[in-house]
Amino acid sequence: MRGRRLMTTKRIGIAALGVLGLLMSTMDPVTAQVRATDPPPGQMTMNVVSANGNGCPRGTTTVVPNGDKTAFTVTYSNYTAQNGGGVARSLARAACVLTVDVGVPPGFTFGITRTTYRGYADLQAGATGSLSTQYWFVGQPVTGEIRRQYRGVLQDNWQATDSVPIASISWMPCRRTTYPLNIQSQLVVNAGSTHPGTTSLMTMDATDSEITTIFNITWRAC
Amino acid sequence: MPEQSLRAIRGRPLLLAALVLTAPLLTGALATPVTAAASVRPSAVDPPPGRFVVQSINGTGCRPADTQVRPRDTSRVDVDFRALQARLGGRVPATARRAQCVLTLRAAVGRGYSFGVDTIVLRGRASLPEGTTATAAVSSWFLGRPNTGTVQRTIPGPYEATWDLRTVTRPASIRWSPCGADYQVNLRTEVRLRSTGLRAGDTARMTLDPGTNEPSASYHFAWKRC
Repeated sequence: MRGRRLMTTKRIGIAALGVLGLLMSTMDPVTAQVRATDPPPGQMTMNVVSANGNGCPRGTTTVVPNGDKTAFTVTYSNYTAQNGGGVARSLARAACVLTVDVGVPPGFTFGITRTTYRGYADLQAGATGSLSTQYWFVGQPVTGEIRRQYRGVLQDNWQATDSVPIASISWMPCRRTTYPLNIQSQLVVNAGSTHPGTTSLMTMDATDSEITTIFNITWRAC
Repeated sequence: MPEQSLRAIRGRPLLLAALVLTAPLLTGALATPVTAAASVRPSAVDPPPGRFVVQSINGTGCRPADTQVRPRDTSRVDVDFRALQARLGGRVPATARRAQCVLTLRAAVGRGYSFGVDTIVLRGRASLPEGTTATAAVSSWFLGRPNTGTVQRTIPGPYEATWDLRTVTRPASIRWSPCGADYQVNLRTEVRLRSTGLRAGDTARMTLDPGTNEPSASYHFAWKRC
């Protein structure tokens, strides 16, 4: 199913890209007069509206957007999963869901979000830690889980990036619409049986994301 | 066509697929810093007028109340960390083996420039018994972006003294920001400890501390027109 959807979109993408150059060049003079705080015309935007989960309790997370709301950084001070050495079993998993309002311009728009996770792993021999991420628009099916596993012995920073394409069709003429996108991350640590008396952990320091609009086609001028 | 897909096409955005382009990565291998004794400040142009503004201070080793940021101009930001420390040994929990602080800074500068981190200076104190290794590191990335620059220094125990890290990036190796964008950069500063055979009863400590007249961290920036 997913494969078919993707293939269909690819074909649309290739057909529409030829038109793109024209649209972009006619839009240029308009862009120059727009204030930096306005959403760029014809572009998708992102606005973090909430962070929920045991990895991002209230007061432990900050969000900084860029000027035109096409990127943001979220930082954490309490996002750690740990296991072994007598720490409570409930701490083996830590998660956070960022809800992001994605602004879409009128017409057919195709873009890509690129989300980067940065953190630290302190895993004893035999221990494993994983980062799992999922993306879904509220009310729509969840994408497949993307999972990376790290194995002990490891004491170093880690980093992972997901690229997720987004397509939207908005029939609202001349009006931007927003849709809530959930970005979920989860850290899970297994202590393993080699050194069950020692604590292993994984920490998330920051999540960065940016949205790049590949093209936007409108059916009427505004 | 299944109903889900139809609904999506009738006016809602659709996540097409989760494509993983970048495999798991250890950032330690990414950087190519050059360490030098002298503080050379290679920059394509003089730093433009303006200054850095602090947008966020957050991490396991800092809160705004214990972190003093002193933006000087667009070429340098000094920071005094007063709670950034790692501890190891005894009954110290595993989470205390590392402490980090992410600063998000924005330079208030007009259009037409790129900037990048060049010199980084950290200083602090270390108390490292035999069987421990300490690391101090700074990772930097432009807001929203995946590329990370890292500089670090590792100190093996036994070591009982002040320490510093001074890294100058060669002009050709500076990671420049996108042209004329928002000039926002994230700086993650961290200290961590590792046991390589710490004796029971011993404890280790690695901290960032301000000197008498010197900040605990200085981040220098190069600018160029674009």
